[in-house]
Amino acid sequence: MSSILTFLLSFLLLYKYWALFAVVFMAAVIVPIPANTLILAAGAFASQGYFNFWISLLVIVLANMVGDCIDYFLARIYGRRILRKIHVRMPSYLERLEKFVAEYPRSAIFFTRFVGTIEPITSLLCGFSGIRIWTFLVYDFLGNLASDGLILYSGYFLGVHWQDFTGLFSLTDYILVGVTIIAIVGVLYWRKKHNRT
Amino acid sequence: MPNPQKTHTLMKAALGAVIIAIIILCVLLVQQYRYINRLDYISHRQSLFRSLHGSGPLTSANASSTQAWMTFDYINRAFTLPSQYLQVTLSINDSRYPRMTIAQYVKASGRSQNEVLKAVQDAIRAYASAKQ
Repeated sequence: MSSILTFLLSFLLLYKYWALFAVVFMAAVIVPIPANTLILAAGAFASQGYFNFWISLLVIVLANMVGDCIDYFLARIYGRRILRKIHVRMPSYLERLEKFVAEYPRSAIFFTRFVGTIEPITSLLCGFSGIRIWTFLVYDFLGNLASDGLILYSGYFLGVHWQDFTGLFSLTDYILVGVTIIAIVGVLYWRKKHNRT
Repeated sequence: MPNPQKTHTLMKAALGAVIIAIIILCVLLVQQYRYINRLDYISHRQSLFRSLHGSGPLTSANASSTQAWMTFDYINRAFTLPSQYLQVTLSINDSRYPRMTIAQYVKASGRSQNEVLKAVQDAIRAYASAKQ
């Protein structure tokens, strides 16, 4: 187990829901920390009676939504202004991705909540594209509830064996990142081809 | 009009990328399967599923799963030990008890981590056998 993870697990046991909120919030904003492993652990701790399952779920969903909203509003209010100020033009692939998100906001928001690595980028792109805040909030809530609930329940189900399955969860993340990238590239390519004809 | 030659090349490249991605995923999945297999979970599936869905406190059989990142408070709760039991058994004088990790105690006491972990595990087993 990595030293960062052991530090975070101790932090979680010492400060319980505050620590859970802080870790999930930071991961949702964009800090690359293993939040999914911590959620899995929280589920396992809930199965042993140290955490309450429903309070944990509420805290995790809330932390994720607050983090996602910060990304969304930062991109919406300051995103283009900052890019103009530092004279950086948005790369064309990001522009295409932004168009994709603007066209299919509901699916993009909902499904990317299952992929921790892509989640903050989608929230930023939603802010850039000016997706309606209510659409963002509703699908962000549903996506986070489904994905976090799934991981938390997995931890609850695995109980004391949760540590043996952390690798599998990282693998699932890689698979989902791969599938999402392939799907986005496929749709963009298909659209490009379709528009030409 | 799209260039059919170019479209064909792009399609072939995309198909190649998908095949490579599938091969990599298969290798990773096989690695994971072998890892889980080594843990004897798949060969002892019945015992796994009997012990899975492990809601409720831990038993003395799980005592070896205690680790340095765990707090005394968590260990007390998870193994349903009386709150002062580990403090008395291990003669812990630190005021932070029980809201301190084993690693923190190891650092403060100057004892070795393995020694403290073994003492905690033995204390859990002793409590369970005394209870029976």
